[in-house]
Amino acid sequence: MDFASLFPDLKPWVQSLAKTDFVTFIKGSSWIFPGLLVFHLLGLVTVGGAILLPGLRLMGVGMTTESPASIEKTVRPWLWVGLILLVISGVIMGMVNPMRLYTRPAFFVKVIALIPALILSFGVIRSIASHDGAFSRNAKIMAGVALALWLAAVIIFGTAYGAAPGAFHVICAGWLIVMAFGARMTRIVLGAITAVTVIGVGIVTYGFFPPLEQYDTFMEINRWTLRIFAVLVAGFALWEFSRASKTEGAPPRLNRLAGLLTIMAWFTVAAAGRWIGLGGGAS
Amino acid sequence: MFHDLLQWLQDVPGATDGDPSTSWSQQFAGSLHLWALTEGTHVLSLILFAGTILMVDLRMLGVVFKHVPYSTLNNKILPLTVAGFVIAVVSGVMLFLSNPVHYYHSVFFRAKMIFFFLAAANIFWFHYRVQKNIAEWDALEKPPLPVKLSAMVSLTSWILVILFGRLMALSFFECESMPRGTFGYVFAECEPVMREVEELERQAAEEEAKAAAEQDAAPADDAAPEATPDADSKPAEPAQPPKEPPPKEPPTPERKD
Repeated sequence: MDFASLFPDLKPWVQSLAKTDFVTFIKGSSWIFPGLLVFHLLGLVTVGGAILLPGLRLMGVGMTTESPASIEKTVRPWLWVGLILLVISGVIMGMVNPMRLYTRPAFFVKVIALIPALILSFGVIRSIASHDGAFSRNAKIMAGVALALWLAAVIIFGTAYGAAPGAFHVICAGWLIVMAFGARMTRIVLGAITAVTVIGVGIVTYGFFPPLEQYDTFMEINRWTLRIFAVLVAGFALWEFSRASKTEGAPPRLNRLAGLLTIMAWFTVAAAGRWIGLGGGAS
Repeated sequence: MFHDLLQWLQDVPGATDGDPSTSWSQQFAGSLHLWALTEGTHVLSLILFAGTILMVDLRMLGVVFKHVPYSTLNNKILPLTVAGFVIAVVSGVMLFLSNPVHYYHSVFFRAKMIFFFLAAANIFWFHYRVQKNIAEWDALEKPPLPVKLSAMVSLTSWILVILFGRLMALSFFECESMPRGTFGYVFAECEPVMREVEELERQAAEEEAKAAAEQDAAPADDAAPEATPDADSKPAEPAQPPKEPPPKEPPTPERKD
């Protein structure tokens, strides 16, 4: 799925973007575009820090000595700094290569994931923080909408031609969070399953379906392994962060899930962005 | 200095029948998804690594979390930074080994390494000197100058590491495009690279001249066998499957955005 197939009428407008004087000016310099790439990365880093700290705090890890409200308020200006850097550099880079964004599924995924990410950061997390940890009815509705949109974005990501390999990073992020903050037993079980899967699939694929000879079977096995593994990691994450916690002062389960979802939504935006340049779609 | 070693790493380990294109390094560089996934991992690990170190450095500068003791961030956030750093370094080393000679002679890679080692030295300085009297400044809103200085060095050098790292992936200021004797040319030790390029060009010109001479010797003979472009190549072995994976998509991932 991409913008070109959803809105075919927009094509002349998209094409016209690359012909503006502004774009000619950008293209005329050999330094502006690389500079934009750098600013986009620095924006990513700033947003990363400003999302991780409050997100982890809602999950009950990280800076637990501080209240979610204080962390959210402290990082908020930095979230804005990062977002402004990202949007300005991103929009200009998009104008230089508009057809690429228009035709590539990865950009579509990025936009679809960006909506829940913004809802969660500016709606849900801020609401929870300002209500002293209480999850209001409105915040619950917003979180539900965000969850649905994020799931849609991830499913499109994992099935879109050319962008699909990038969904691997989303799975990795979920896996890392469970392995870093899960209970001891959860980590042992998921770690063991991971080791068995990696070694098992490695033996099966390279032993019986070597990629140089049976490429299609090799890829199909990898694809299905990743899909099943994604569901597995999601199950582990859901179980780990939604069951009643025994630790004193742990945040309510819904807050923990909201924190996890916020981190995952923003990470999906970044991971999809990484694959815009790498292909897929009819460019 | 390391040119020959890296050339060996790029061509020899994993190679079958002495064919450099089958070495681990070159197979990895030409892989369909693995290279791109490693590169994505390297970039995305910045969120964890640089994103958290930014907040720790800003606390050391007295900009954010002024009322939180530094030790809280040191204990709760810095482990995440270390995790991100490990992922970034492992994926970064893998990417370097996918094309070691090219990166070794890259102006931006060298600049990146300079600031990487500056950042590393700063970490040691902070850990073994500045942090020793942490009790005195832990809870201060504005930590003393050495702490701020360390934070400034850290922020500046990591920003420059990211900057040069991003420029590394673009193809400008490469040995072939820099005039001899310029700073970049000397800085990136382009001499051995250019000597090899010139040697290859000379060989190609010689081959061409030889082929032209043979054509002259047997004029107007359409049935004359074509001159083999590579004199060293052995006769093709029969029943040998192709070494490269089937080109489903462009075999080498596009590296220039």
